[in-house]
Formats: sequence, C-alpha cells, structure tokens
Amino acid sequence: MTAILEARQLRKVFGVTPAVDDVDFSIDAGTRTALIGPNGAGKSTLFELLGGGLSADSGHIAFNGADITAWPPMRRAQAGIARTFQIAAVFRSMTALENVQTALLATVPGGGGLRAASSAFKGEAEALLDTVGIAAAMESAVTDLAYGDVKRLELAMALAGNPRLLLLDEPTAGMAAAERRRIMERATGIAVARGIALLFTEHDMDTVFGFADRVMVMHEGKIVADGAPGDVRADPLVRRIYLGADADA
Amino acid sequence: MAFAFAQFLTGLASASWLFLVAAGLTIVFGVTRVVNFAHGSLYMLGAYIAYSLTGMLSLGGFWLAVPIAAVTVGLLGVVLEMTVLRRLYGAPELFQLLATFGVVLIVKDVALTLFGPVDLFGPRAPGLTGAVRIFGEPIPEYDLFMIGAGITVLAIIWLLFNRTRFGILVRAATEDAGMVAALGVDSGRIFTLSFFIGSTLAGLAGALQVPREPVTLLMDLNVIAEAFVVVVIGGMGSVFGAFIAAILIGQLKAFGILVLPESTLVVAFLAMTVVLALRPNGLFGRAASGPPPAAEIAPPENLGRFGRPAAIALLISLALLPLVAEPFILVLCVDIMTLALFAAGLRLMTGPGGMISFGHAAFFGLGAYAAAATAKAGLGMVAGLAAAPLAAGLGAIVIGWLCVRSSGVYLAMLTLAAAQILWSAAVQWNWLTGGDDGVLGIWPDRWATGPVAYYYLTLAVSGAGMWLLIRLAEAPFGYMLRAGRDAPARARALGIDQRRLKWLAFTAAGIAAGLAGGLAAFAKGNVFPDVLSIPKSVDGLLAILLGGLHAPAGPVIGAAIYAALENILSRLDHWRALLGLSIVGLAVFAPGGVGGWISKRLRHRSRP
Amino acid sequence: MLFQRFAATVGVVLAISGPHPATAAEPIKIGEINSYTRLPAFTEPYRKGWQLALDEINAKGGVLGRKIEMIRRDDDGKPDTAVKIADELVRRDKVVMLAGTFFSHIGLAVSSFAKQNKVLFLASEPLADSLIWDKGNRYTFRLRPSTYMQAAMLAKQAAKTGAKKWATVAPNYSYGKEAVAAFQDVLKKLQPDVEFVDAQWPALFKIDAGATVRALEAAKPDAIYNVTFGSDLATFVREGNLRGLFEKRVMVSLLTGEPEYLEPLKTEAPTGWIVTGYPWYAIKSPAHDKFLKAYQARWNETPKMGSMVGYNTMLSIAAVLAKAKSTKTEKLVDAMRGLTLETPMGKISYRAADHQATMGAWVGWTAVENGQGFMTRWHYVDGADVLPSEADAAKLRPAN
Repeated sequence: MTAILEARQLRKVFGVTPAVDDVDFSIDAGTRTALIGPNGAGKSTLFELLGGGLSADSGHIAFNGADITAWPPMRRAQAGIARTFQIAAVFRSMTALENVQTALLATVPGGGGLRAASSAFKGEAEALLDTVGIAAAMESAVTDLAYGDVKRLELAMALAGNPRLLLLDEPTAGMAAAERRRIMERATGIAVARGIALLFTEHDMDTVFGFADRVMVMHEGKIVADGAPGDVRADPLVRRIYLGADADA
Repeated sequence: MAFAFAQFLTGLASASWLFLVAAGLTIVFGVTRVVNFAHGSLYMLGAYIAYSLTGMLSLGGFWLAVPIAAVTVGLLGVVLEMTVLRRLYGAPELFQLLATFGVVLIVKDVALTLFGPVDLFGPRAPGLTGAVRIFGEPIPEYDLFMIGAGITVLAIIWLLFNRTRFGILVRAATEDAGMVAALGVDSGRIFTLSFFIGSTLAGLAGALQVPREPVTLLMDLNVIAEAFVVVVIGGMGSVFGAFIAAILIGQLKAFGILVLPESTLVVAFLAMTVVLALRPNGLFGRAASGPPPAAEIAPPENLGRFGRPAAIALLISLALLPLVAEPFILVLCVDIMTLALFAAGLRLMTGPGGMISFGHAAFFGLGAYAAAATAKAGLGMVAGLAAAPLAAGLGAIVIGWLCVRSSGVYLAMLTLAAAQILWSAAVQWNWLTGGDDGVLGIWPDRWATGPVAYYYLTLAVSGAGMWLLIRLAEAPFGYMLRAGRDAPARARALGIDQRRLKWLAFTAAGIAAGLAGGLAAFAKGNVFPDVLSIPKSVDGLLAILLGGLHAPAGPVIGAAIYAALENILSRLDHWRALLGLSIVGLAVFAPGGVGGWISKRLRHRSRP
Repeated sequence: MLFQRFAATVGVVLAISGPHPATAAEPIKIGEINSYTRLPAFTEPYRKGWQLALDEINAKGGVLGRKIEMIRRDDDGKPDTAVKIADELVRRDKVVMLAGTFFSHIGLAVSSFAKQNKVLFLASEPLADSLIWDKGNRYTFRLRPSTYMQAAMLAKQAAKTGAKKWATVAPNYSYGKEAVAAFQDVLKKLQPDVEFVDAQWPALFKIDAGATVRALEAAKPDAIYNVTFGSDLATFVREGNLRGLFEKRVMVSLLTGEPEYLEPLKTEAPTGWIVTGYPWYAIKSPAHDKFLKAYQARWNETPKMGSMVGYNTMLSIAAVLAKAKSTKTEKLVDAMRGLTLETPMGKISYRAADHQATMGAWVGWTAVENGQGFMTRWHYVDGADVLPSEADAAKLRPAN
C-alpha cells in the first residue's frame, strides 16, 4: 500500500492557540480512516488545511506525490481530493439531478460550450444518485429534500470527480441511528468499490468503530493516538481524554 | 506658501462638510448594513428645511434653524427606517439599494411640491459674513466655522460611541448583531436610534450648507455619489475612516483644481478606485463578516416547457408588428429592445452571477461613445455596432478584474465608482466626448434608416444577443456560475474557478450593455453623458427587478413592463413619487418580480 | 431612461384610438420644448411670455383662420430627453414646427434632430454660435442674440477699460466655451496686447465655487470675464465677495443684468460689473410700455428676460405662419428666411444668410439700491450692429 496523502509538521495557529500543532500522518490509498476527538481538538481545522479552505502556517501536505501545500481548494479538487462539509453545502437553486450534473460538468476543462447543461451527463448523474440511494428524488428541488438526503446528495457530488481521496466532515451529524448506518454503508461501500481513500470525522462511536479500519485521535491540536480501532479503543490515554466524556459509546 | 495654506483651509472646509454627510451614512451602514441611497435626500431636506425656517424665524434665524432642521430630518429618518428599511434588513443588497433609490424619487417629488422648482439661495450666516486674513490671504469666517464643526462632530461621535451605553451597544451591534440580541437588548431600537443619528447628521450637513450654495433639487444625487466615495475609502462603517477620507478628498479637490481644472469630478472616484485596489475594504474597514446575505433561496431557473413556444410566438409577433404599428410604436419598441438587451446582460451577472452592479451604465455608455466615435470617424454604422461591444467588453475586462475581487456592497460601490469615473470624464473631457454637448448626428447607414428598417435591425441584433445570453445561462457556464453563487465553498471543492467565471459573466454583461448602447446611439442619433449616469444603471436594475432576477425571460418582460409603467405614471403629476412608491413596493413585497411570479405559477402547474 | 422615455409611451394609447384627420377648424399645433423644471427661473417667465402672446393672437382669431395650440413639454434639462420629445411631437402629435429650448447643448441636439427629420425649429433661447454658424442647417433659426453678439457688445466696453491680464470662468459646455472663445476673439481684435492668463471651466450647476475663486485669485488677473449663470453665478458671487476676488478688478459678465439672475442675488448683487441684461424698469418706448402693462396685468409680476424671449418667440411663430400661408415645413422655412416683425424691442428680422434674428440686448453696469441689483448707464445695442455681414456669416455655415 502506498500513501496517497502525507501531512508533515502541519501547523495552524489562531491567535496564540495552535489549533493544529505539528501534525504528522499519512493516509494509504483505499483505506478508511476516522479522525476523532473532542470538540475543539482541531479536527475541523485539520480538515480545512487538507481541503485548502485554510492555509497552513508551516508544514507540508503532499498528495499523490505532489506538494499541494500552497494549492487553492479548486486545484486540489481537480487533483482528486473531494470533500463534504459539516453543514451540507449544495446548490440550492437546483434540483438534485442538476446538482450532480454541475459537479460532473466541473470536471470538464472549458465547461462545454453553449450546449444546454440540463442534458449533459444525465446518465452519469442518475447513476451517481442511484449509488447514494436517492434516485427517486432526483427531480426534487434540493430545498425540498430531507436533511439525510441532502447529505447523500453532497456525497454524490463529491464522487462526481472520481476522487482518489474523500474527506467527509461529520457525514452523519444530525441523523437518527438507522440513517447513520445506511449512509455510512453506502459511503464505505462506494469507497471500497472504487478504491477511494476515506478520511472522516465523526462523533458517533458506533459509526467510527463500525466503519473505519484505522482511527486517529486528536487532542489539543495533536494526534495522540493512531491505529486499528480495537487498539485505539483500548488506549488508556484515549479513554481518559476522550471516551471518558462519551462513556455510552 | 500663504496661498497654499489658504488653499489647504479651503480644502479642509469642504472636507468638513463631506465628513458630516459621510459620517451619518457610514454609521447607518455600520449598524444596519444598509447602503442608504436616500441619505442624499435627507441631506437635501435638511437644506430646504433650514432655508425655510431661516425665513420664518425672526428670533435666532439661521442659527436656530440649523438644529431644528437637523433634528427634524433625524425624525424623518426614523420614519423612513420604521416604514421601509426595517422590512429590508435581511434582504439582498440589490433590493435595499433599489428601495432606497425609490425613496430618493419620492423625496424629490415631495420637495418639489413643498418648496418649488426654483433654486433657493439662503442668506449668509449671521455673524460669519466676512473673511479674516491669514498670512494675507482672505479666508471666509464660515469656512473656519465649518472646519470647527467637522472636528466637533467627530469628537461628539467619539464620545457617544466610547462613553455611553448606547454607543457601546452600537459598536457591539456593528460587530455582531446576533450577540447583542442574545444579551437581551432590543437590536431594533439600536437600529432605529442609529438611523436617527445618521439622519440628523445628514440634516445638519444640509442645513450648514445653506449659506454656501443654493438649495436645489439636484443636491440629493450630487452629494450621495461623493458621500459614498468618502465612506468607501474610509472603510464602510468607520467614522474615523470617513474623517480621514473626507480630508483626503477635500485636499485632492482643492489642489487638483489648480493642476487639472477639468478633472475636479474625476478625482474623487479615481482616488476611491486606487484605495480599493490596494485595500479592498477601504482604509479602516474590515472584511464583511460571514457570507453575503444570500439567505434568499434563488429559485430554479429555466424557461420551462412554456419558454420555447412563448419565445417563438413573441418573435413572430414582433416580426409582424411593423405591418400594423405606427412608426412611433416601432421607435418605442426599439427602446424596449435595447433596454431588454442591457438588462439581460445585467441579469446574467446579478442573477446567476450574484454580483450587484450599480454602475452598469458604464458599459452601455462605453458602447454608445465607441459607436459614436466610430461613426464620426466615417467608418459607418456596421463598424460602429462592432466597436460598441468591443469597447465595452475591453472596459468590462479591466473593470471586472478589479471588481470581482470584491463582493456584495463593495462590488456594487466599485462598479458605481467605475461608472462615475467614466461619467465625470465624459462630462469634463470635452476634447474626447464633447462634454455635456454630447456627440450629435450619429445616424444609421442608408439601408437601416427609417423606423421600420432600424426596428428590424434592432430586433435581429438584440434578439441574437439575448438568445446568446439565455444560452449562456443554461449552458454549463451558467450552472457553474450559479454554483459559485449558491455555495462558494462547495463550488471550490468541486474545482470550479469562481473568480474566472464571475469575470467572464461580468465581461459578457459588459459586452451586452455595450451592444445595447451602440444600438441606442444610432437609434437616437446622439450620445450624451447621461448614458453613463446613475439613473441609467437604475433603469437596467429596475427592468430586471420588475421582470424577475431569476427568470431568464425577466429582462424582456421587465423592459416591457417598465415602458408600460412609465406610460401610466408619467402622465400623472407626481410620476416621480409614484414611480418611487412602485419601486419601494416591489422591492419590499414582490422581490421575485413578474417573471418570477409567472415561472412559479407555471412550475406549480407543470408539477405532477 | 425612464425620465426620458415616458413621453414616447403616451403615444401608444393615442395611436390605438386612431389618427384624427386635420380639419380647417383644428388648431395649428406647435411643439414647444424647454427646461421647465431644470431652470424655472428663466423658463417660467418665458412660458408666461409666450402664453400672453398666444392669448393675444388667438383672441384676434389666430392665424390662417385657425387658432394656435402650443404643446408644451419639459425636457428635464437633458438633451436626449429633448430629442425624444421632439420625435414624439413630430411623429405622434404631428406638430407643424418645433420651438423653444434653453441650454445650448439641448438646442444643438434638437437642431440636429430637425435637420435629420426635416422639420422647422425655432431656437428661442440657446446662445451658442455654432447653432446657426458651423453647425447651422436649413431647418434651424434662432431668436436671441448669440454668444458672439453679446460677447462683442461686452468686448467693446471691456476694451475701453484697458485691462490687460484676463481670466475667464464659464460652464463647461457649448454655451460657455463659445462665449469665452467669442469674447477672446473680439477683444483681441480690439486690443491685440491682452493676455488670457487663466480659464476655469466648472461643470454646469456643479461649481465648486470656493476652489474656483481661489484658482482665479491665484492667476492674479486684472479683469475677469464671467459666463456662469443661475445657481453657479450665485455661489460664485458669494464666494468671490467673501474672498475679495472682485475688489479692484474689472468684471465683465454675460447675462448677469437679466432680472432672473440679478434679482436672486439681492444685497449681494455685484456693483460695477459690465453686463448684458434687461432693464425693464427703465426702458421707455410705446411698444415696450404696452408689453409691460399687459404682462403685469396678466401675471401680476414684473417681466424677466425670459418673458420677452417667450413673447417674441410666439410673435415670430405667428408671423411666419401668416407669411407662409401654409403649415408645410419647406414653405415655413422659406418664409422664415428674411422674416421681419415688430416686437416690444422694435423691429427684428431673421437673416436669410445665417438664420440669426437681429434682436439685440442691453449693455450696462450693475448697481445696488435698496437691497436690489439693477442695471445703470445702459444702452440698447441692435443685433444687426454686432453681427458679421450676411456674406461673411454665410461663409461660416456648412455647405448644405
């Protein structure tokens, strides 16, 4: 297995507090990594550093062998990093289908001239919606979709560019247990089938230990534990700083 | 040396006045985030009221009239806030700008009715009628008083904002209105109070100007553009920034007139452009926090299944119109079609692009002047109609590059500045544009002369232009443009280059406006600086507001309704006020426009 | 523009109701365009002037057995609006000729329209020389004495003062520019050693008076030639008085003696300026007395220069209709050339060579008494005396 993503000495400081404090890790192709930690541990900041929404104060990020530290989000996306947001971000003036079509069109250099976008990539878009399980709602305006379906739609959009790495920021936040399970089954199933490396943050421990093959624990900007789910669950430090607060997990 | 010092004081006096106007505007913006076009109208009312009171009050005269006028205007501002602006706090900036522009029209008509059309020249300020000699140069006492007044007001505002509970709450509200509300403070009261302060300052500035210049109905728009410049240079919401910016502009004008007497109008806007290019949020401004209030959910946009048949039916009936219509109806239709083309480009950048332009006349005017120059050079109409979109497109590439780096109100102000720079240049640089005299005698080629021939030419050209613009909106370009508007972070994460798309949309809108300007130039046979003015930009915005910002057919519907609205209103005495009321009503109650309403109906019906 | 297009749309309704065939009893329609809301100080008295004449004419049965109907339209001070309105008046209202306009650039715009559409245009007030000279055309005639004529009258007096270093201040459009050019031209002919040391061009009705006065002061001229009027003049005079600009300087000023501009200055009215104007309070002639009485009886106010221009405009329209015995454009144009009529100012005629009327102006000095500015030591200059010969003037016009 080869590392698709490598972070070296990554650091981001807000004011005087380091949100991400000299973090080192790498992600192998085709793996499913969960990033966990209490609120304020620096997970979101790290995600933004990887996605390009924030730029690091120091350190380096390599993706697929290229140094992408200074790349804007747009270029990272084009290189094969896809992501979803904690609060699902979709295009609210469009139908579900159009959202995915737009995501597919974004992968075409030059955009595709004057031909009508409504008929572009229709089959591919429908297939993607089917993959995430909302094909039935494809003509709906996204404002009419249930929140879980919006999350699925965002996942379909993220998949549109055939990414090598998929960053999911709390993919199941705000969902009921059954829904969580279904969406994570979809996501991990697709990732495995397509050989996409998955990195996700998550609060729900059932989801974490049910779907990740590796867990990284962040605390106060540092990665304090990293390994197979069973090992991390047994780590006394993790139990004290994190799981202790979430004993029911 | 003595001369330079005297010139410096002259500049300082006009800076003081500018500061008084701008301070109110910037306070209102800082707290409510509303860009208040009607601030200039409040200023004008201050002057009219002070003038009238000065005549009526035997005791105290002018000096008593000033505070009464200021407070009266302050109360009028409160009325304005409670009746109109309060309903618009959450609305997109476009509606705020248009609604306050509607108020401008209403106030102008009310002022015309109450005070008459004649310029009113007030007496000099009692006690300050002379000049004192400083280093041998005569300095009017009133100028010195104005300088003192500016500094005093700055000090009072500082004390108010730093030493009173209200001021501290206002400052907190400026940072985060939600937090203040969470503290249990009625933020509505704070908004109203800050509107009172802002309006009082506008009234004060107007009242104090009475001894310096005649009170006229042109004061409102004359002052507002310059006040915007000061506010934007200083950083929107920053009172101290406005003070520094006012001094900068005052001095630039005072010394600029010695070097370049024909550039007094341009100087202020050039300074603003330079400052914004270096510091996109002005000297003391901070980046607007959070995303722009795109909280409105843009409806889906497509012509729907009724769109194509409707468009074809419209085209056929327009093609047959000359068989039945009188020439002047064709002339009117030429006007509507050029306005529709102008508005269609503007809609692409404002609707799908999410960029508000308050200076789109810049490109209409560039096109018109380019067409005129080409025709005057003897190259004929076809070359003129080619030069028009070319010149406007080049202008849009340059101006667009500067503008798309900003968003929201700053972008609107940058476009306004661009249009005002071009307008000032057109007014003052006679050698280039003929100044106020304009360019005359730009007539079509022989084959296109006459209402019918030119009607068909306009129909073909603007029809093709609009078809292209609609295609663009429905093409991948339009989808990705909307993507960037709806969810910028999502679009970035999909690899969409928003800035480039916005720049392209800006340029396309500029080209369409330029083509419309060229068509209009040959239709009318002349070009005047008015093609670059604020009302021309408002024409386009109103057409898309009426037609519906998110309806592809909106510009056509809007332009036609606009003509009809004019037709109905203009025959009435108070057409300005009625038009203003219609604009305010539309912005407040029907932000979707007619096109939006129709497509909503159609969508509901076409749903299974 | 909304503010310009509204007039056009009025036509739609009328068109649907169908055109009315003209009958002999129908009035003769004249289209009148002016800046009624932009410069009411001049255009309101102007309206009262032509209204008075119109009522007198129609009371006597009109001309050619038909009454005259004036369709009055406001151009909002904008040339494109004026052209728009002209188009409507001609195409929709089917007026037989156009008249009016105040600002020179608007007059020029309407003149260009008149030429393109072959319709007679009597420009009553715009003063720019180009209107009848280098941009003159077959269809445009002008009533008032031009900038050249008035500048020539003033230059004659200015030359007598002996001032050598001159500065000028004028609004930055055709009227201002041509008024300065004409004055420089004539003054240099009369006194070749004069020197023009500074020229200020404030934008019309947007003068930054303090800065302008300072800039003029900086040039240290012996004399200043002013062309500003209306609100620009009022601010300029106030700032100039304050800063002592006019002290020990020769001041020559176009139109400042006209009551519409002099009266609003009240006690601040300048003294000792050489001006053109209209001393209605002191003119003694039977024709003028009759006009003055009728005007005051009708409107209960004193006449302004605009009143006189409006009155003479209406008289000219009636005269040309009577002379042409037709309402056809080409016949009217032929009748205008060389048309002679009696006015309260005496006999005037429209020169066939350059379409300029020989109406004159009063030249004098300003003075203040009882808090009111007025003209003193004035004399009337007939327009014919300051115009170039018809042969020379014809050469100034384009070939067509």
